[in-house]
Amino acid sequence: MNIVIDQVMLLLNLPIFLRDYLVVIGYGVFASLVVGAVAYGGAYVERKLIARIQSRYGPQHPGPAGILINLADFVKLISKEDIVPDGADSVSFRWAPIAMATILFFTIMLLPFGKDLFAVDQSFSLLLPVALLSLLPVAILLIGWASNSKYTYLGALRSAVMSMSYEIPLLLSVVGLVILTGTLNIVTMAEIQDRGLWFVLLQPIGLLVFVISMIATAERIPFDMPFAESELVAGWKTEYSGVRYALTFLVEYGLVLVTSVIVVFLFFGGWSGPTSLPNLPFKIPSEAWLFFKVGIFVMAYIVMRASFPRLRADQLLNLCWKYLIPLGVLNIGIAVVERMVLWV
Amino acid sequence: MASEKIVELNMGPQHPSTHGVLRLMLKIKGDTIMDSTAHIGYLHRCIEKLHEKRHYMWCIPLTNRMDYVAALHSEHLFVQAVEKLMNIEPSERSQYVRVILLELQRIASHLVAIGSYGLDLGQMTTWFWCFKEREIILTLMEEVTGGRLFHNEVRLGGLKNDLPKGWTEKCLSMLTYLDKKWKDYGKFIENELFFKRTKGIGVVSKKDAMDWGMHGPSLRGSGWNLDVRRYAPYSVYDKLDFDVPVKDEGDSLARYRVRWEEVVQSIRIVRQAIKNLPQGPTEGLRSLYFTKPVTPGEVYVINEQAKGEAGVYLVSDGTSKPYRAKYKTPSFCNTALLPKIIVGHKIADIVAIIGSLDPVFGEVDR
Repeated sequence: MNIVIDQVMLLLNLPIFLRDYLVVIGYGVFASLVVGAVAYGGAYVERKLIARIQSRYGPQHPGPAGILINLADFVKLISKEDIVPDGADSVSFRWAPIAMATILFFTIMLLPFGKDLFAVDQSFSLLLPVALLSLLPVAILLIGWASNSKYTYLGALRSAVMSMSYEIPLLLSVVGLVILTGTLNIVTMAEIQDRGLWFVLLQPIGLLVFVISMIATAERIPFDMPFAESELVAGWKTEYSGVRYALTFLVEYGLVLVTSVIVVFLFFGGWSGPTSLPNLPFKIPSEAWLFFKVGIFVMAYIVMRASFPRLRADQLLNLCWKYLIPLGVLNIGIAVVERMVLWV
Repeated sequence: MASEKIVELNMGPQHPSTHGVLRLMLKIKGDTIMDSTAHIGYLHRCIEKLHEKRHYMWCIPLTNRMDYVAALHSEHLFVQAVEKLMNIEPSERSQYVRVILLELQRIASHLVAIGSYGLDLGQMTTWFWCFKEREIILTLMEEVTGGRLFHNEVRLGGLKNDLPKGWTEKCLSMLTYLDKKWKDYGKFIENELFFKRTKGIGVVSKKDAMDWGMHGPSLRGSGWNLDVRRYAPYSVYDKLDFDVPVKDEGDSLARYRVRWEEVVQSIRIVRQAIKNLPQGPTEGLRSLYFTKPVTPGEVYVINEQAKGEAGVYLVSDGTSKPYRAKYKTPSFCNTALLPKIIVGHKIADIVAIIGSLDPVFGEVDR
């Protein structure tokens, strides 16, 4: 990405101070494309895969094998009336989903997508996405309050409580990696793993804690009680219609993408592929390996959704405080020992 | 929380998981239910009153609309009452065919119950799998009765249609298939998260279950070995060998397991009934007969429906229309004690409890 921008700069003979703006704009376009593609592809794969698990065919009609179904749905959603319920706080109700989508775009812009595919190589690229994602519950609380409905309010409260408790094990589980690598930059972490050992082998407990917390962050089954359909109608999404409802879906799939990318970078070596491959006529780019691994995680989300019932909110909190946080602390101890043994 | 205020929450009648049109007025404190009231009557269609305006024959389709998930059971109940009133003994074969269809209907109903229970708990796949198998059963029944949900099949002293040629073989092969699948489904459903959501949730003690008038699989989930097919056998159930599954825990998991095992028992019953199926006529009295006067008198008849013991109190004044038909339906009784069970539980448990009681609102409101 940066090379392309440098070429453009050279071609058009632009002054050097414009470079940063160009990087941001270019990467912004790229991030939107990625989110769009992932939301579209993810939703389609989800529909098809879940359908196959449930002995159905899934979408068949618009396009070959129903590939255009999401486009049709999107057209339907944007052509719907944008309803603001009576007594709702119009401004926050209208803008909160947009704020959520914006936060998500920012987060995705900060993520690396390959060896050279990142906007800024900042040294806090582990903390910044997590910090940004913890802004989402603020928007959700706002929605819950603004929608003027008890169901949205309950859903929003659940979401806030969940993310408050799950940020702790999420961060605890990555502290181990920070101790091992001595950096907060996930690109550097991936480079270290690229040399040989993936951290999944060194930090299995950390991975477990991280994966559970990240499902809770993404609010997917079995931890999707903020919009548990059978209890809270649709939780904080209840009152939305039309394009704003489509935005909440974008946020859902965006979260799946963000969490999958982070977990691949932290534990599964990021872009690193097999060290020795049979001679191929073409070179497999590092991005392809990354997307392959991320794809596996997205699939795992989908299969999980098809197989498990959801937990209750208080059981989820029990799980967090009683098991995940002690495990996270234990994991830090393991990391310290590993650091002493391996990196003498 | 700083202000532990009690909030009123209105759950239903348009709520995705109240299994129809139940409306629960909840008083919640945080996430805990302090008090609740159930409002019913959103699906009231005057079925009992309509009985009084119709000939006996025309009442049968009405009874179909009560428990629309297991329509054949209520149909059979009504015909049972009229047969008792008129002292008619149906032919042996028709009784066996009735039992086959009744048990298939019970399986279909339990498939809906367990499938929608999975949906309530967020396990969507259970729903689709159960409905896939139910589809096969409905198709089988359609071949006999011509109807998928509303069969209108049982006639006074017999049946509308006999089993078509080759149907029993088809049915047996379906049962073999279902038997195998059903064990897989049981393994799939009962995972650790499922136990977390159902174990110890909505416990009804043995005494409470009897005092509050629980019915059917829910009652047997609380440790009572009570099944009409056993203690007051009707049709040919006394000639068939089957177990009555009973669980002592009284929680949602026990109720689910009773239903799961009842499907296995129903498969067993259908197999036996097909094996012992005698030859002979199945035709009932001519349909026209229902427009003729019926012996005056009054009867109370019970049978074991998919949801539990149901009864009809039928009064005839000697005309061709019933003077009064009063139904006692199991879903009504189970719904009545729902508000008592859910007090003290979390909001998320409400759906787990409603699903485990398996009420059908066509039957509650009639």
